[in-house]
Amino acid sequence: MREITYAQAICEAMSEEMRRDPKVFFMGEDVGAYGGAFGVSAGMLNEFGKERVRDTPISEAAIMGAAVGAAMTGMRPIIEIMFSDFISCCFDGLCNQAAKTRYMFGGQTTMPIVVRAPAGSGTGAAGQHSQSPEAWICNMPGLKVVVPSTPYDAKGLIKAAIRDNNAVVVLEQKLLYRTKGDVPEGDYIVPLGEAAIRREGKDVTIVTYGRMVARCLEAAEQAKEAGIDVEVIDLRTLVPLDKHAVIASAMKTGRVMIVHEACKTGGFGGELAAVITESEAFNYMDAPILRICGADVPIPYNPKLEASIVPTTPVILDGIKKVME
Amino acid sequence: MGHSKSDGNKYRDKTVIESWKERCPIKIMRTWLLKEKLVKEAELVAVEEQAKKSIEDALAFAEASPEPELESALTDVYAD
Repeated sequence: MREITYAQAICEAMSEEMRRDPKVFFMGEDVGAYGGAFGVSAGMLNEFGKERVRDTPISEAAIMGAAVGAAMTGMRPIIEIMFSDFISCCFDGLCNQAAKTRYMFGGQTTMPIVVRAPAGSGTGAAGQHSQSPEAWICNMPGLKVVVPSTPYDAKGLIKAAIRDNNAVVVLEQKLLYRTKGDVPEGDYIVPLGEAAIRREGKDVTIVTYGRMVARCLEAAEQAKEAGIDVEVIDLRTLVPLDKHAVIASAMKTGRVMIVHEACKTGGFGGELAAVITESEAFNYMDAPILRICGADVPIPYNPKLEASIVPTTPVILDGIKKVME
Repeated sequence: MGHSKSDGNKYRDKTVIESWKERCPIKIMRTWLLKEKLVKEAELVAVEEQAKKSIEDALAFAEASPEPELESALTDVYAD
């Protein structure tokens, strides 16, 4: 199969959907003439023109507000928030308008918006350009949250998000933009709400998502040398959550570790742990659920400090051994 | 210059940028201070040199400093 990058896969998803449906259009800061801060939309302005690939002023509130209005009147906007951290600048539009309007008007409207936003640390961009804000958004009924970990999923999930009639926030993983993987040409979707079992195992379940998937798989390979058989679940979508996949795996292995880059306190890992303990899987647990998460600090600027406060492969491996005790 | 210094200068042509540089408030202030004889040229030069030196000193200090201890990533989130 053809290999392309995660960034190219996202571009292809948007472009295919824009060719398919004239209602789909794209806007954001530097997305047209510059091709996107991370180069995701390179070439799209040439193909689709200024009406459908719109460079906006530097105002996330304006971008989000325009998207809400466009969506309510029949369009299907894709917006790019240059760094997911800046979602805080359009929280009202996202959380008070996009998330609630359908509900507050008794289901009379839909809100087909895709909010694409690069997330995560590892680029030396410090505290305001490196966060993993999924927990902010998962706590907001009405929004869906997607975190692709491979180029294949990036294309399929974004195409599914564009066709969804709800506001979907896609937290793209900055450090994955240049990673390559098999991506089919042409149309396919990855349905929202379906986790992927990236590695089957019988001893420990790791539940993770985004760029931590690769580290967990690496740690799982190393654990094999210690005779531990690790299962790795990539959630792919946080809302809606594939509870069935998580619970079934927890019942199979009886030991669960949750890994995410975002800080631990109030993070999505707590939700996952509660989902497991509230389910019948609780009766099958042989060890307490362990969370390996980012430290509860802003992302530091110094590259060594930055690398030290998110889960690394050795830390994940230690966690696996601890859960096996 | 649209979004930042890294946007590749795709939004405005150079003559527009140059014309706005001429309207630089620091430059205008400097000219005005001299015209009104509020300061001497030498005083302004001294301020400028001092500013330049403090930046150079800070850079030299940073470059000469050891890498921070990893534990320092965990401090200063909250005041005591």
